[in-house]
Amino acid sequence: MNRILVCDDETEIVDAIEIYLMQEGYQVVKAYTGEEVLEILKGQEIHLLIIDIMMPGLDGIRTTMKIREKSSIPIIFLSAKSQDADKILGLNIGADDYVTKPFNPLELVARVKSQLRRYTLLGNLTVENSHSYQVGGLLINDDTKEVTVDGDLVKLTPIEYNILLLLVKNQGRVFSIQQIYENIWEEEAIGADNTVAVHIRHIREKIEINPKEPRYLKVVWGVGYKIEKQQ
Amino acid sequence: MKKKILGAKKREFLLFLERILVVIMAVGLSFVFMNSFLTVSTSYGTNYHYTLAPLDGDKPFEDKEIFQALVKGNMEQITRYVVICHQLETNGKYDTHKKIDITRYANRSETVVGEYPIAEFYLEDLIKWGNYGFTHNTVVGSLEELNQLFADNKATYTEKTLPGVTEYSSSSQEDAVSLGLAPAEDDQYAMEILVPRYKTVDGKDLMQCASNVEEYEQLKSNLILSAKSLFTNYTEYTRMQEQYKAENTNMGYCFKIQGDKGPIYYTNGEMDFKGDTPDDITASIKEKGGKFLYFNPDKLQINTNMDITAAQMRSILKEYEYSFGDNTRVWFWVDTSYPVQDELYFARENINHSTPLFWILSGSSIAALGLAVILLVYLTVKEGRYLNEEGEMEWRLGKQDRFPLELWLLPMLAVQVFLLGFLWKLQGSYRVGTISYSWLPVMVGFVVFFVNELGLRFYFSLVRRIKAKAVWRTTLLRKIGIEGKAFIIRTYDHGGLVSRIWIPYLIFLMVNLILVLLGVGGVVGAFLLDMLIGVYLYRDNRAREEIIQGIEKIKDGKVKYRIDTTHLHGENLKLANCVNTIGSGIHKAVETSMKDEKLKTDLITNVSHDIKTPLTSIITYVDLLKRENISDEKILSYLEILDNKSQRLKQLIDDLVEASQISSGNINIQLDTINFVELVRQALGEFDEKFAEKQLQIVTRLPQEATFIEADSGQLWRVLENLFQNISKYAMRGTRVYVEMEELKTENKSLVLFSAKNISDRFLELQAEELTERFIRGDRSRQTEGSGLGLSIAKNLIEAQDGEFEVQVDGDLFKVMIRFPMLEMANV
Repeated sequence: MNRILVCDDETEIVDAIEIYLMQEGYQVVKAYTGEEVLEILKGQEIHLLIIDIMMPGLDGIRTTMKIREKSSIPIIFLSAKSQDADKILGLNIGADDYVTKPFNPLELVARVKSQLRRYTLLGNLTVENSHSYQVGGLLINDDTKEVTVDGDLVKLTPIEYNILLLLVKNQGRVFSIQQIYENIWEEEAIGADNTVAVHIRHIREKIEINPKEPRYLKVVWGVGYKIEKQQ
Repeated sequence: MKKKILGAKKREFLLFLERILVVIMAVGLSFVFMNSFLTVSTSYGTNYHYTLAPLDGDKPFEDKEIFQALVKGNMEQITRYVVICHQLETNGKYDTHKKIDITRYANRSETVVGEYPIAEFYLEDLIKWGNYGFTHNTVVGSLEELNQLFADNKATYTEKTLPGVTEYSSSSQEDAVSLGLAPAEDDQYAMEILVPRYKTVDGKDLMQCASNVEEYEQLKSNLILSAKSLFTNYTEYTRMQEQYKAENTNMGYCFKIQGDKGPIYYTNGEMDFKGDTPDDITASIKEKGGKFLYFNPDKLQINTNMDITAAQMRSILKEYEYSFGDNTRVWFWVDTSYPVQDELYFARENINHSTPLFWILSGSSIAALGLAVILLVYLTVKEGRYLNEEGEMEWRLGKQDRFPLELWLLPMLAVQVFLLGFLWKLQGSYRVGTISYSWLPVMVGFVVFFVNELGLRFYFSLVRRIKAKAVWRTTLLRKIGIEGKAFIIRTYDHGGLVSRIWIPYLIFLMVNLILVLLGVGGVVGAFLLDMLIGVYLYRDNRAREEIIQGIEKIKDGKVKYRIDTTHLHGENLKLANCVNTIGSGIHKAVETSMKDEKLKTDLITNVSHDIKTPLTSIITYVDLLKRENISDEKILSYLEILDNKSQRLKQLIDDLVEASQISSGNINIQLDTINFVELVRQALGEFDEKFAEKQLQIVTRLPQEATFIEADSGQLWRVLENLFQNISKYAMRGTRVYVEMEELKTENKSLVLFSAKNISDRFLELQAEELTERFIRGDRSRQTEGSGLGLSIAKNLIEAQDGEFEVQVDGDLFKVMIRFPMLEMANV
């Protein structure tokens, strides 16, 4: 039973998030200020923290910095600040994920799940053999042609599978549409149309929580696609 | 600090003291000066001017120049007196019947040699004749006739027949001239015959003494000379006889002259020297105790206790050597007890009274002068110093220091001229008599007081001006210069174009012409003038260039730039001021607008955050409601509306924030080399399903090759996302959408043109330009979806990446074009 601490100065939001998370079977601890969060973390075992940034008193950023001094629990920021700069700042000071308000409840739940799996399964989730590839929570077993994300099986078409496999095998390398086409279809890409781009989009929709903000399959606009190399 | 400042009262006191000291000095010195000259008038008419030398003060009177001058003067007079006595006296008495041989007397300074007609007269007769004067009769005749007159020596003047007129031979004329006769007409000569007033000792008249014309003429001139000379000597004799009596002079004398019957003594001493040797006489004179002198002209031997040399004595006697002959001895002495009040006594008295006054007065005057100078130096150091309100020392000018310096100089000059004249006048006024207590030193005191007053004012004014560094500032010359310059500038600044350009130009031409006509100097002058004008024109143009540079700087966005107007005049000044005003106006406007923009952006951002919080609750709870098992269609449709509109609200807020941030320049652009074709394909891939939903047929005409541009790939994606979003929303269902890219080659660069065309499913109410303006949708197109900011954001983003964004509307055809400079492959 994972215990999740939710903190926001807006009680209704905390209540709503509680409902969603309880439906997924998580135990929820509620807090309304940064000080409360620090207090609760001292007394209880918490597996994940969802925290708002803009709060009176101790805000989310400073609270996180304090937590990070001694704990490495997953932290998801929840903020009305949607600028790129805000997101980068949040992730840099030690948050694991950043969800902007107003949020899609399902997306939030998915991100919670993802973070928890990574946190709890990180040690066990090892590559079983040479035909398996792992990128974060994304696992490809080339023997069984199975793809799992955070433990959930994902169904891909053969072309999608091949594209994903190509990118995973060459983590960090950017493939242009033409290169992907030539690799997968094994023929000259004359008048390569949008096919590859469409496939990529489909893959993203299947393996990403939010296809517009992909964690694994990144779009390098004007250059191509790649799987981000994970530390 | 306070010590350095002189109080006004103290300063006035010191100045007063200074004035007093100067006046004391002036009165004292002028008194001393006036009493430093002594004029001694002597009985013989010569006046001795004597400067009382202060250093002679301790010398006895007898060692002073004045004493010697007086003694020498008297010695000369006495010598002359003795000579006259020798002429007029016999045995020490005036002898009226003394026989005078007129030929010898007239030539007494020489020795007469050879035979000559003797004519002796009594002394008394000659003196009377000299006093009465001489009358003549003129006879005219030939030389022979005239000589005939003297043939008979027996006939007297009255018995002689005066000649008639006869013929003369021309040969004898020269002889007549040599005799001193005046030629009359035709060998006739005029001859002056003296009317014989007195006869000779032996009863003859003068004509009877001569045997011819030559002899008569000689005798006549001797007679006249002797008579005149004797009369003069007699006059002097009577005067000096009185003067050099022992009771009338402090000087004594004794002349021993060798006469025919033994030595004759001339003296005013009481003693009888006859028979004494010269040494005895000298000794007896020495005994008197005064000043004495013994002189032997034969040996040029002198024995004296005065400062007189033998040569000086010789020069005194030289003139009368003829009278003395050999064995003459001379003694002089001065009774230094001065029992007689003669000129020596008078001189001595004055000198002895003047000397002590000199030291007291001159000493105190110089002391006063020294004190005055010290005071002046002290006052000079303090002059003009004031404490200002902060307690710091500063130099100030007084009211009179505004007065032009040159006008000060004028009275100063007048005073100098006056003073010089005064001194000049003073120089001539010697004191005659005893110590002078005249009004003159007092007048000098007054004059010096006023001069000093004027001088002090001028001096301190000058000192203040120098200290305050205002010498030049307060001159009339500068004032005139400034006024003149201001006048010219005023005329120039307020004149019209014609007067500004043509009048100076015509004057310039005329001056040049006149100067050139004046010759070489004029040409040089004209050249210099032209050089000056050239420099002026250069400076004028340089000023204009500065203004142009200033305008360019402002144009380039340096709105804070200001043109330095301190050295500008006329049009340039006007122009520069206008430019500066425009510049500051722009600067103010830009600053205000930037500030406003930032405020607006901050406001929008903050408000959007505040809106998002309740919106989050709404969206979340709508979602929770939807999760409840609601079967009522009506409620479900309501929920759907709530869901849509809350999502729309979210979109609106995001667009709003983004648009305001982009337009205020608050976005981060990172330029990279990217393949535009690839990007378009990627974007199309993202929208594949959305287009399919509306059954839009995408017609792509994209280059086969990679087309590289420099852009921020993330931002460019957002633009394309925006465009395709619009297409998926507003394109008419089932129509074709054209997405094209081509290369445009212009003269020196090539462009990549991306365009997307679609048929709008509704009437396009707005002009193309309006579509890209922010917040334009307003009332006119409320019915449509979206915020209306999409195109505005897209346009701003493209322009931020140095691209061009254009929207065209042609009926229902909606076309968007994006242009980027194409990078050549070589550059990639």
